[in-house]
Amino acid sequence: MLRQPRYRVAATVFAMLLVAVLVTGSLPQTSRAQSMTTLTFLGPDFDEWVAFVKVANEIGKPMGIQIKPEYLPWDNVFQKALIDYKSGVKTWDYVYVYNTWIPGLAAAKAVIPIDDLMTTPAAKKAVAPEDFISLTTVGLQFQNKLWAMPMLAAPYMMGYRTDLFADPTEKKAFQAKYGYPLAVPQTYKQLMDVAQFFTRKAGATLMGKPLDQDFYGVVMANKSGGFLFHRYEHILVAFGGDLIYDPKTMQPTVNSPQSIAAAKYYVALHKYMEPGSESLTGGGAERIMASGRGAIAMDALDNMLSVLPVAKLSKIVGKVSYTLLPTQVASRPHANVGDANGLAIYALTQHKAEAFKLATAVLNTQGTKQVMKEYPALIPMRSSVIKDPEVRTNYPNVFNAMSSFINGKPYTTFIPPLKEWVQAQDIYEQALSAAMSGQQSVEDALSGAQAKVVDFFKRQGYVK
Amino acid sequence: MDARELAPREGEADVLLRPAARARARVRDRSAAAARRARWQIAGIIALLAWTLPPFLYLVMLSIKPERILIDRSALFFVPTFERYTDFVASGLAGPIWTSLITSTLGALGTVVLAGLAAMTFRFLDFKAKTVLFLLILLPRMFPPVTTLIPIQLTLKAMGLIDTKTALVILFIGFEIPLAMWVLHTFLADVPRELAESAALDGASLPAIVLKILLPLAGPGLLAAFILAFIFNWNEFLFPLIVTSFNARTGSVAIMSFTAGYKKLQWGALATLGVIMTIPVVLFVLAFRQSLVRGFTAGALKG
Amino acid sequence: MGMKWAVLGSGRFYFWLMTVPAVLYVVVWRLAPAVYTLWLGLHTYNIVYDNAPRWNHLANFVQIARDGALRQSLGLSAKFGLIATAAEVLIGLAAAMFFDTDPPGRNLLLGVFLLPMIMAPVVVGTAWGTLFDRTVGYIPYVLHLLHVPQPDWMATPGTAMFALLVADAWEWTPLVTLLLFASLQAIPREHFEAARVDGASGWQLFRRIILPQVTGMVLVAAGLRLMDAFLELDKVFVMTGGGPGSSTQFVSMFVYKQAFQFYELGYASAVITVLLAVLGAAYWLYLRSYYRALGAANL
Repeated sequence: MLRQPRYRVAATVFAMLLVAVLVTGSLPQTSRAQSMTTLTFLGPDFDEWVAFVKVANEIGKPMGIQIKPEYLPWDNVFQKALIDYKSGVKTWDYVYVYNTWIPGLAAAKAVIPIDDLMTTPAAKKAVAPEDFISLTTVGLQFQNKLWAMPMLAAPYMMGYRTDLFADPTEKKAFQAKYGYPLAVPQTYKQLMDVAQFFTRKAGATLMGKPLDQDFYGVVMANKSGGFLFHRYEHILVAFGGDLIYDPKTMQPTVNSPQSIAAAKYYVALHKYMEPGSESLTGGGAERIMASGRGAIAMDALDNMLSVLPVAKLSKIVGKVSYTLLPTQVASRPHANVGDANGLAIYALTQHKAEAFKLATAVLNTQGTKQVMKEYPALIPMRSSVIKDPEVRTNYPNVFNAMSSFINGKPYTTFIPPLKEWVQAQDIYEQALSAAMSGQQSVEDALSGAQAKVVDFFKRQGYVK
Repeated sequence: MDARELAPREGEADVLLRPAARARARVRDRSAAAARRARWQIAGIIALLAWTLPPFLYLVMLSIKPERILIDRSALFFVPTFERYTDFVASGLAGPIWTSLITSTLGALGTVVLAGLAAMTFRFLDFKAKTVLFLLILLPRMFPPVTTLIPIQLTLKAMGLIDTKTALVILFIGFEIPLAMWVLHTFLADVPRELAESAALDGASLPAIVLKILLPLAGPGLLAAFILAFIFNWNEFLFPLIVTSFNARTGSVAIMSFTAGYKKLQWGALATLGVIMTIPVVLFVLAFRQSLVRGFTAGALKG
Repeated sequence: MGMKWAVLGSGRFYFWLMTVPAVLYVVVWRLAPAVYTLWLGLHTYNIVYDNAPRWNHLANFVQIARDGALRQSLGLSAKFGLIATAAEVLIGLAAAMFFDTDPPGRNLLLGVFLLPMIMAPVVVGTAWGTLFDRTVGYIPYVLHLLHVPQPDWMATPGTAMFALLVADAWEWTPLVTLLLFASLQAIPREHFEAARVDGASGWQLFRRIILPQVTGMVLVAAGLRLMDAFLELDKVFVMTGGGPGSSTQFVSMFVYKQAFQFYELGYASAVITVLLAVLGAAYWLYLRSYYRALGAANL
């Protein structure tokens, strides 16, 4: 009977079952040292947070506190924090937050504002709020409260190939073609010229040598689903447009002249971007730049810094420098939309005091420097760290970029804390994507989007 | 050897009518046909492999390609790096994969048992509510479960089962019952009703009929349903994501945390994890392939 | 005819014993949540901002009727589902017949052939998305080397859908093959031998022996695949995000966005209800013809 195959299968399965039950039953529970408090952290598996956890455990050990991280895909962090809070799950102590999530988390009361914890002078001193670079931290503020400990700023900048811009052959050719000297673009018109100039097919020469692959003027990540709009919004703002609507009147301005001009510009610039940008997220675009196939990258500074200067990942180490985004409208120099990441304390945490204690210890000046040692691409949000002489010498990229950012005083704005922002953005983004793929003209696409956004705002009661 | 050589030539027609000659002709026919068959089969095998393997091999290649040249398409020959695999081992992903293994298997088993019993009953009994009940069981499969996350999470919390393997097993069993029932229902179509009926008329009780007659004949179907349920459970992402945190994390959730997200898409890491998540199941299927196929072909034995 | 209820007698107890667990399971863990979803469709519920669902009569459904984007999504999903299913059934049947001819190493081959189905859909999506990518993918690279003119696969509306179809066919044909192969294996070999001795051609063998046997399972496999392909999410999400424009904005992406990006669970539930109605109607018709086909075969 045992020779019959189905019985053999059944027997094997049964045996596996038995083994499984035994193993599950006998798995040793991780024992906790009596004195150690373990805090849980819900966040994305990004290098900066891995570094944070490591440093936090080092700093926390003498305090008797340890961190146990749970890494999830970035989008899912918000969802899980929200759903867990709504179902009364008490697992978490720390939650990673991104600035656009703050209004939602605040409304749902899923995290505790830092302000609510700064109840004593000692607590205030531990946080040192006056040390924050407000240009970067205002994104983590909502209704006059700070909702998360600032950790990583992500200003959008341009990374450019210094060797290309210094090359005499290229300089001569550029001057001949465009009538002005080749330089890092200061205006969007110049950016278009430079992008056009450097976009070459395989076989053409670059810096005197023939190319074995196509070369692109600008490298960007244009995937639908937020990335595209995230890259485009800086240009929209630079051209004088609103971020979808005029906050004073709540009237959508999707097809305003400025918006149309910005979209037209972007569609034209798209010709000089790497094809397939529509399926790329941030990391992918930077990989392409890092393999030496682009002249300029426009991205979050920490994205670029985590790939381009890293020897293991990049072929252009030492050949990249960073600068502010170009200008279009004079009243908005080097316009950009800010990006901030922070550490929030979960509303149902069982260890509020310890969480606050450790967070302030790790994210103060000294702690931040320690995290930077683990993750050199960290863009700190404290001016004391930027000004620190050690940082200046050890992380010249970060120092230079952030100095130019702070000193250059670019026009910085943040995504408005509108409850329906994601929907409005989605409508605009789809229109832009349709225009980029040639399905519709820019005017038609944006007019259609305007109608949809107006309709949507009417339903939500923002406009009549 | 082609047909022309076998066609009767002038004056040879009567030669071919002799038995020996005819026998030789038949043998030549058969070996010619066999050779043609073998060629077709080889072509078929090559076609199948060419269709199935390249994307997987591509992933394997990506997983051992050094980062710097990862997107250089012309770089087909390179010194491989196994760093990503050692990172994986060091990063403790073995736990989630083990959780996936246990919960997927137990879930699939439960599914097959429950669905099998129900399907057999549906097949061989006529009762009034049959079609309705059948439809009721199939319909939920069409619901994308997104909106049910919160109520299910709340129910599990009320049962005290948040972040446990038990919760996953319970959910997995339920998810695939409709699929399993549907598949089994069709397999059972091959089993003639008269067998069950005559046994019933002879006075056999229902469980006896099920165990002694239906179960052996439904073997292939049960196996197919088990494998399908296992694979769907293994790749289930949304519910394990929401329902578990640390203790019962599954491999599919662990994989996803390495990927996408708005910042750092790491093709190499994703490829590595794709390979790692796939290998156990592939080994499982390959290990059981004899039984698997024999299970399917058992149906051919019925006269 | 099957056994009548009345015949069972004491067997009734066993009947309940055998069916109740499965039915109960489905009722608790699938039907109840489904009913909840239907109920939620009559409310506004933004899970971020609302503490509880708010009754809004049929406002969601009125909105659905006016939602052009949803109509477009339904059409795209239907198109995708039909083409994908057709391709998978054709290729799957061919593969199943091939396996039925008992090629050397068949067991091993079958195991390897199941590989695409085993891979996580997200991994499949990433693999194919990368393969088709103009900048880093091998498909454009090879075509370029062969000097074949090609569009930008992922950035052109029509070809983006094509890339998704290829990925789906690759991933799910093994499922169809598996089911059809099992069904083919149930045909006694003697039928084939007898027919061949009688001088039947390959095509006649197919029409008279294989096709009738396999029809039932083809309908099952097609039904399964059509439903799943219609609700396809993972690959679209990873490969195109719904773009370019909205040319691959399948209905599942639409629902996903509503539920997980806009957090409008009420509206998402209403959309799902409509989906259910559409699918339910289609399946009612399908099951009726399926039962008729089976009934004819059983006589």
